[in-house]
Order: sequence, then C-alpha cells, then structure tokens
Amino acid sequence: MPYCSRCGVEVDAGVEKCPLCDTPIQKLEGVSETRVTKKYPDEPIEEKPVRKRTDKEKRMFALEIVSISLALPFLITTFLDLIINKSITWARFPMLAFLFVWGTTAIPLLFPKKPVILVLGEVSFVMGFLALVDYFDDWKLEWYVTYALPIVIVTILFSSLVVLASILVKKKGANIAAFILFGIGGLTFCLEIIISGTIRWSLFVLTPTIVIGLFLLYLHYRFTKDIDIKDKLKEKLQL
Amino acid sequence: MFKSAFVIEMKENKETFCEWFRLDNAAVIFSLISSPRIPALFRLSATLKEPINVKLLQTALNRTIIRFPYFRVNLRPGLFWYYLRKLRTFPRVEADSKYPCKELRVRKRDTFPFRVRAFQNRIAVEFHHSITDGTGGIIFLKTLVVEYLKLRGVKASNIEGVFDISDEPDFEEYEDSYKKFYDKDLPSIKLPPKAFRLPYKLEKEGVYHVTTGIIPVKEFIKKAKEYNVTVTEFLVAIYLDSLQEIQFNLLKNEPKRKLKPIRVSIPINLRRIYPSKTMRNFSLFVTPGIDPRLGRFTFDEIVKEVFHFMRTELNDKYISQSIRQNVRAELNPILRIMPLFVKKLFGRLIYMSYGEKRYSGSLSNLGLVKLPPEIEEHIEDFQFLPGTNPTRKVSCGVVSFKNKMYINFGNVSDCKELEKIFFRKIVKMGIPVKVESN
Repeated sequence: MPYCSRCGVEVDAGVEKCPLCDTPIQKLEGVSETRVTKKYPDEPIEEKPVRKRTDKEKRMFALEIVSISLALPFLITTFLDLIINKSITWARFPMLAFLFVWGTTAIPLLFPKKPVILVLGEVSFVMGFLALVDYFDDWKLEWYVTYALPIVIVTILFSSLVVLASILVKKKGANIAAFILFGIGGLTFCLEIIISGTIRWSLFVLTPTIVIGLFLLYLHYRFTKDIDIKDKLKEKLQL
Repeated sequence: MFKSAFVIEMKENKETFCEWFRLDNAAVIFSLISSPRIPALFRLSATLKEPINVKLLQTALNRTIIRFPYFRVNLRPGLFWYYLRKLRTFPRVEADSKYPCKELRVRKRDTFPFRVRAFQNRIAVEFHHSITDGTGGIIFLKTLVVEYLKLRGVKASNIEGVFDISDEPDFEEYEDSYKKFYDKDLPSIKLPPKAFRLPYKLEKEGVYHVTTGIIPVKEFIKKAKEYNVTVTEFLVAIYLDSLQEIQFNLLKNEPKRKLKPIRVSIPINLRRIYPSKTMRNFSLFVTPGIDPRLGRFTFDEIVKEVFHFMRTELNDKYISQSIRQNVRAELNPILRIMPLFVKKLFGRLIYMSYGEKRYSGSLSNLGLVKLPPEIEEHIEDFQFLPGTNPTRKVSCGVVSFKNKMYINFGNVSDCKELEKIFFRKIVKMGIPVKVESN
C-alpha cells in the first residue's frame, strides 16, 4: 500500500496526492497499477434552483390579482343596485371608481418603460374619470370645464416640464431642486388664476421659489464641478 | 407539571398527537437557523460488501420508514414555532454527491428532513438535526441496512439496537426528553468566554471536504490505556493539542494575552444518563478546553485536563443544569409570543454569538456500532460525517465498526491544516492511519 512520505499516512492505491498535505505519492516501480476505487462521486449534485418568475410574468400576475380583486366589489355593487332599484342608479359611482383604479394600475403593468404611452394613458384616465364623475352627477358638465380640466392640464404640464428638464441636464445636483421649486411656483400661480381669476397670494409663493431657485442654479453652475450627487450622498450616508 | 401533561396528551390523543407534533428543545434552534451555509445536517453511512441495488433499497426504505413515523414528517411553519407534520408519501433514494451534507431545503412543502443516498456499495443517510441526533440516526440506518440485507436473502431476527419493522412504534420514542427531565428550580449557568476559532477562508457554498482517517481500534485503545483515559477523551486531547499547535503557529510573535482559550464541544448521548427511549434529539454538549494564555500545555497536561473535566462534568447534576438552561429559554414567555419570523431573524444571531463563537471545534463520538456476526459479515464500514458551519469550519465525527475506527473531518474551509496535524500526531504515536478524502 502506498504511503505519504511526509505525513506517514497510508493512502489508497492509485491516489496521486496525499489528501492531507498534497505531496505527490511516490509510485513504486514494478508494482502493477491498481484501479482507483472512488470514495465519492466526481460531480457535486446541485439542488434544482427554484424557478423564478420573469419580470413580465410578475407583472401579469399582479394584473391578474388587481383585476380579480376589483372585479369582485364591482360586480357586487352592480348587482345589488340592479336588485334593489331594477336599474343602475348609485352604483355608477363605485363602478366608475373601480374602473379608474383598475385603469391607472393596469397601464404601468401593461406598458412598462414606455413613458409616452404611460403619461398619455394616465392623463386620459384621470381626465375621463373626472369628466364622468361630473357628468354622472346631474347629466351635465359643470365644474369639469371650469376647474378640473385646467387644473389637470396645468399640473401635468408643470410636472412634465420639471421631469424633462431634470432628464435633459447633464450634471444633476442642486439644479434639479431649482427646477422643482420653479415648478411649484408656476403651478401655484396658475392655480390661483384658475380658481379665483386674480393674482394675489400666489406671488408670495412665486417670488421666493424663483429667487431660491435662481440661487440654487447659481450654486450649481458656479461651484459644483464633477461631483456626482449620488456618489456624494453615498459618501455622506456611508452606504 | 409540564412532564405529566405532556405524557397524558400523548396517550389520550393518540391520533391527533401523531398527525403533528412539536419540535424538541434542540430541534427548535436548528429549525430556525437552517440555511445554505448552516445546513444543520449530519450524515451516517454504511458500506456493504456488494454494490447497492437501488430498487431493493427503495423497498427497504419504504418498509423501514413506517416503523419511524417521527421521521416521516415535514417541517412546517406555525405562527410562533416550526412544527413537524406527518407525511403520507415515501422518501426517495437519491444519488450521492461529491460534497455530502449540502443544504436540504427542509422548510419546503413535502420535503423529508433527511435523505437517503446510494453510491456504489454505500448507503448514506443525511439527517437534519430537527428530527434526531446521532443516536437516533444510527438506529434508523442500522434498521434500514438490516432490512435491505434481509431483502437480499440474509437471515436475521431480533437484533439488539435494531428496530423490528413489524412492531408498533412506541410513544416514548416521540418524546421530548429534554422537557421530561426539565427541573426549573436549578440555578443558571454562566456562559464561557469566546474561544479561538480557525481563521481559514471559507470555500464556496456547498463545498464540503471530507477527510477520513481509518485507524485500528485495538492499537488506539492500547495507547489510550497507557494514559488511563477513554477513547473519546484521548481523541479530544489530540484534537485540543492540534488546535493549540495551530494557534501558536499563527500567533508566533504575538504576546500571550492575544491568544484565546481553546474549547471543543463534545456531544453527550443523554440516553445513557437518563432513562429515555426517545428517537428524537436527546444530547447535550460538554466543553473541555485549555487556556493557552497560561502557556503551552504539554500533551500529558492536556490529557489530564480532559480526563478530569469529563469525569466531573458528566454528572447528572450538571447535565440537568444545562437542560434547564436550554428548556427555560424555550419556555420564556417573551420569546414564545414573538412571531416566527422575528424568532428566525434573531435565532441565527443568538446561536452564533452564544453557541458557536464559544467553541473552537467539535468532536462527536458515536462509539462502536454492533450488529450480529451474520449481518456484520456483509458490511464493510460505518461512517459518521458531522455537520459543520462557517463559524466552526471544521468538525469531527468518529464511529467504530468491527476492528476499525473511522475518524471523519468535515471541513468547509480551504485549509486542511487541522486534519494534517491531527493525523500526523496519531502516526507519531506509532498507530497506523489510512487517509481517504473526496
């Protein structure tokens, strides 16, 4: 039987290296080679990995859950109204609300990473919802035209501008805070015009937001050189 | 109070009790910490003289498992604890792997907390610690092997230490003996300080190096007799000496106070101390050790240290105190009302800092496996691979069969220094060692 010359331990015939110290085992001349008897299989057995859902499957699953959990109360309210009043009366409001929730959640699940469809879809759902609520009330459009529609348009406009500007600038930092401030200022200004038709208190919001925003822009373009805000934050928070 | 209520519940609600049951005190911690890195598995194997017929082994397993209903279970999460729920299916014989004791996903539905593997002449069973300890495991393996050999035409009946599969399972085999022998009036124990641990780099997850040393039992016993100690005590002394050598080699030029005490955990089969027939966990640790900060211990000194420590600690009074410590923790009302996920979150942390970090390694000796000669002639060896974890890195499992002793080191690090020093020491004593590995 072969031995390891360093450890002094016996090893199996045919083993090339000592299992303890990796010293090559001396082969004796004239001794016929015996076949190595393996003590363990050569290959490790891997446990079957747990199958993970792809992103698309996850989204479709989420859509399924949302659809079913909204369809149940939708049907219950509808049928209750039909049974009690023999027609759709009050149920039109909860029905509309359920449809609205379903639509707003379904769009990002169905069209992820398509910002144009996402924004347009969500905006049209919001506008449609508000219009129908107004219409269902007394079968006329009233506050929708004077308040809801302009407010929605203005809000979408300003938030889109802020987002667009933030995406387009190369160096991101205090300038984004400035854009947000400008957005808030502009929005309040427009809101006052829409609601009361005059310009008074919104100036008190607009002035500081513009001044501070400009100061931030000055800070950003004058002093920050190549500092990445993300890296800086990570450094400060020691992430 | 707990004891009697438990026994009555067991006998009166025979059926409901059997459908699901609580984990025993030791299993609780293993159910919480079990993960890919801490598989909490140990492995017992028997090599026969002929290649295994997998179909026959499956038949033998199907027959055997009926006699062991407490293993035919699935670990299920409850609101506060994991529990074991009976399964109606049969476990499948699986192929063996290069690296044994790889994680078993015990928390998965319909998964048995053990697996039976076949490779060439060998039948191996890897048990998760949530169902049993080494003693329970070896009875299962022996029963399985005898059943398999019977199917091959070997005649045998009424073997001591092997269950007859036609018998009804005894309810005492289900028992959580820790709770039975729990005495809440005992004082608590002070935790020992943190111990020296092997500093080696961990291997990739799932890699488990086995180093088996095969030693003639007679010569080893003769050597142990020269020191007037038992085989286990002698093995522990060599283990401690090897760890001491590693620590001194590592910290050659450091001041002595930088050294750390070396302590090895030795599982003790409590069925020998208390009257219990349980097939579930019923073992505890004693932890002999040395403190190298006081200077380098000679081998004679280590042997003396281990000898006296083991003789003192292996007393039912001290053991009762340890049982009380563990069971009391489980019965703590604050801990009990914590939801399972909170327990899982803290379980590993507490186990690592209170349990593992206080030991440098572990050595578990299952003793001599005995079977009648007509069965033994068909069996080549019995081996025991201990479970290990990233904190401990290397563990040692010992079992003797016929005239050989099989010392297995399970190692999840990339360095086999401990095994090398350990076996070289035995060779230096003039005892021949044969080494195998995966």
